[in-house]
Amino acid sequence: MTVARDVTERVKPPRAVFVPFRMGHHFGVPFAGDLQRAIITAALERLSTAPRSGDIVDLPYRWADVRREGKLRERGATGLTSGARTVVPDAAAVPESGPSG
Amino acid sequence: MTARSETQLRPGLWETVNARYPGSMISNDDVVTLAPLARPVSQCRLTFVSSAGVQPRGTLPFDVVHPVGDYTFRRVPSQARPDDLEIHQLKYPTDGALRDLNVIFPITRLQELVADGVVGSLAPSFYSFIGYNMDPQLLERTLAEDIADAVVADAAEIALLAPA
Repeated sequence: MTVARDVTERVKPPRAVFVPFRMGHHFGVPFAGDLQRAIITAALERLSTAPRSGDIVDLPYRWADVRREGKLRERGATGLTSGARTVVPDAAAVPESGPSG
Repeated sequence: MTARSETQLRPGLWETVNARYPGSMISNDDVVTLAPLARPVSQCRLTFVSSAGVQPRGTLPFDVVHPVGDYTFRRVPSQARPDDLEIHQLKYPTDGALRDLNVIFPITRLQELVADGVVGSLAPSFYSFIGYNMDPQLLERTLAEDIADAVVADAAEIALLAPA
């Protein structure tokens, strides 16, 4: 799991999944359990689907969306709004690219 | 090349850190051989390795201000609750993790994946250290080797790594 794609391109782990998230937030935002789980399972899928060593998968998330929906979720939990839409990636939409991008 | 949904929030991280601390950043010329998965994930034992500086409450804190780093690691019982754990780390934003540790150390989610049959089991321990280590060769010879030996001793078949 990485939030620093350029570092991962240099280190070259055999399997890697990149999310464009803030440092320290590799699995998303607080209390977004479904998002955290989706990111882990996306990483685990690479165990059987990675075609070659060194590939990096970019998960189709945007930090701004994840952060906004996390805030909505927490406000919903405290009764300030009705809740947030769950951000779960469409597996078919997950693009692939090599370590050099 | 394929399209990306978004680029990393702090671009040029490797170059920036390496310019400030020359030689501190790891760069490998070659990839390692891809190890095939011997059986389904639902039958495998998983471990988690993190540089987030997460450790059980009451254990010796990481030395977060040592000039060349702290090359020790902590075992984190994989059945621990987030409230059993704390973070000693200065080099990444911990505001999210201090509210929900799972944003950087998803121990609850991994326990749930086992309960739901997605993952076979968890190794008895997860492993944590701090990412601020200025000597990558020393890190590889000591810390990385020590954790790798511990993971093998735990009979873990899958290792999920999250460099904070």
